Amino acid sequence: MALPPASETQISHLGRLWLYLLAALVLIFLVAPVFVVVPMSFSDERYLSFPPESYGLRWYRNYFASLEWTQATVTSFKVALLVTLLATPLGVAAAYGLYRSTLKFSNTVSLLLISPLIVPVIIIAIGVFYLYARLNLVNTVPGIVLAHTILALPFVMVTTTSGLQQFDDQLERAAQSLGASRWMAVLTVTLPQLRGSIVSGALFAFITSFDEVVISVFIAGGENMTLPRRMFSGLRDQVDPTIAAISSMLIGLSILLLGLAVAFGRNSD
Amino acid sequence: MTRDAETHTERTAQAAPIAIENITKTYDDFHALDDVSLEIGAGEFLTLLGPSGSGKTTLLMVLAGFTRPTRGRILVAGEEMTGVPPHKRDFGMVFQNYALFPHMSVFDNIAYPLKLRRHPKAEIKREVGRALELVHLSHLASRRISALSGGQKQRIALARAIVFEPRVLLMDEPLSALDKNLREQMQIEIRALHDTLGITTIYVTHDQREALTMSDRIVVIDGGRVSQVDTPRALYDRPANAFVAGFIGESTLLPVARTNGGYTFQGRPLKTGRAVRPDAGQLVVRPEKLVFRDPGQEEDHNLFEGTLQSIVYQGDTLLARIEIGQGRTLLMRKTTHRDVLARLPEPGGEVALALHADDTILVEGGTA
Repeated sequence: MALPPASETQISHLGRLWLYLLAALVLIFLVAPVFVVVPMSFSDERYLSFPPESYGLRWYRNYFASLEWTQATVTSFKVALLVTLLATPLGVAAAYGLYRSTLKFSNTVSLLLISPLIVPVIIIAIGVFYLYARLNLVNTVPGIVLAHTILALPFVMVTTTSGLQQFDDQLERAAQSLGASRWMAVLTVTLPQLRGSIVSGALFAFITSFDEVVISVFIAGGENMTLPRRMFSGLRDQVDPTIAAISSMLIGLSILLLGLAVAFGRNSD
Repeated sequence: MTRDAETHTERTAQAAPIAIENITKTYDDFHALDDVSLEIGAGEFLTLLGPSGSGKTTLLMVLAGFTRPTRGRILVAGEEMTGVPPHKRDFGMVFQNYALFPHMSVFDNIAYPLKLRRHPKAEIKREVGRALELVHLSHLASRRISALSGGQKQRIALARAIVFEPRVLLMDEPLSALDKNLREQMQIEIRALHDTLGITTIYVTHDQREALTMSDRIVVIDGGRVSQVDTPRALYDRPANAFVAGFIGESTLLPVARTNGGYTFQGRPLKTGRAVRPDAGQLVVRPEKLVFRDPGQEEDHNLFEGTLQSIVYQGDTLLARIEIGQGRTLLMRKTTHRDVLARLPEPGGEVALALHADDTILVEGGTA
């Protein structure tokens, strides 16, 4: 007895078995590295090993007890939050302006703003380092925030622009015909419609800053060392199992943020 | 302005006359609008009718303030409006795709223009309630927009456009997304609402039947120019040119020859009920104006004979195709009443037809 067809294409589940297996393999391959870290973080041993021979919360305790780690975490949160607050309004305004613009050079401006997505980060990092050295911005919170905003801006722009492409331009005109100034129409009609895109752009901006390493290696040292930079240093000197504990917590945070982004995406429908 | 003369309300005083003076809109070297001038009376229901790309929507956008004309002026109640931004014009507008705000409830959509005008809360509630009553949807105030049908959305859009008592109501093909039955019902409803409110209304459509049904006057626009402005009746019975004759209603165009003192078709002198333009060259025959010939019609009718080629049965009416020689064909539309059917020969049979002189329309152009 054959299984019922999987879909209107009349192909049975059995006929598709190879596809399901391939998809499962790809998924496992994608997430396996992430989930190797989690058991490792609960190791009770002095060195990173997989699978661990004994389990405990030793490295989690170590993390919370270490001033270096917690300070770096606070710095990272502070920077990421400031980047989000800076990149989101700038990115939304840029996306809206360029989307509406009829100027000939608006495509060029758009490309320039998106370019940090394409240019290798190491090149931006070197440029930023030499520029900020002159401006005395190296190893300062404003410096890190500005550099991360360069990277985060394209994400906000891309999500906002894709939101605008689904937005019915007539709605803004309707608002104007009903007595709203252009500014008022954008505020009360356009932006609420783009809420989902803007929130997911903001989350992208946050994550971009929060796990940025390359630029941070150049300009986020000393007192204002960020968490990824601290982790990077920790890996270079000796493999510190605390990193596995932090990574596990970051995975948890990422899942939470992703869940939020999905929830907001649903709400905006 | 015939119908609303009888139906008056407290709001008529507010309706404003509009003067459109020499409006021209060019994009590079394309003339979207070419020297358009119109006078629209206070409380009039005026329809802009034309094929797509004729400039009718551009003219509406110029009126709404979304498009800046290259030349010309718009005056509302004598006041210059040309450079005034849309939100300061105080015109209500209904869009083709409804343009309701999906993140607001029905109530909040209608309350939007009132909130912008800082009306007190209690007043907003009352006014929204009244607008909902006018469109017979009072029970839907708390609905989400996505939970409405097309017809309901259009009514809500209408309520939102009139709730703030605008001086002018602009409508851009508001019914084109609805199916035929609902569209016809809404035509009557919108016209009735107009008569209740007495608001100056400018309505854009490409549907000639809709224009004939709803309007006080119709402006036929073609290629950015005004082709004819007239009442529905006059426009249909006395089209000023071949474009209007062809665009409004069905018509067969036949070339006529000019002789001293008159016109002939296939050698027969044509009787016409009114003065004929000097450059006439084509005869316009409306299929429903043709009748089977009866004795004694020679006096005031033009006569045709031919062979019945085919009959298309369309339910309420039938369309007969009659070959009248020289490769010319006439279309005749008849009701499907049994008496008509009885008089109609089998295809291939001979028919004698007559067209009253008053229904004989001559327009410009042609080859003969």
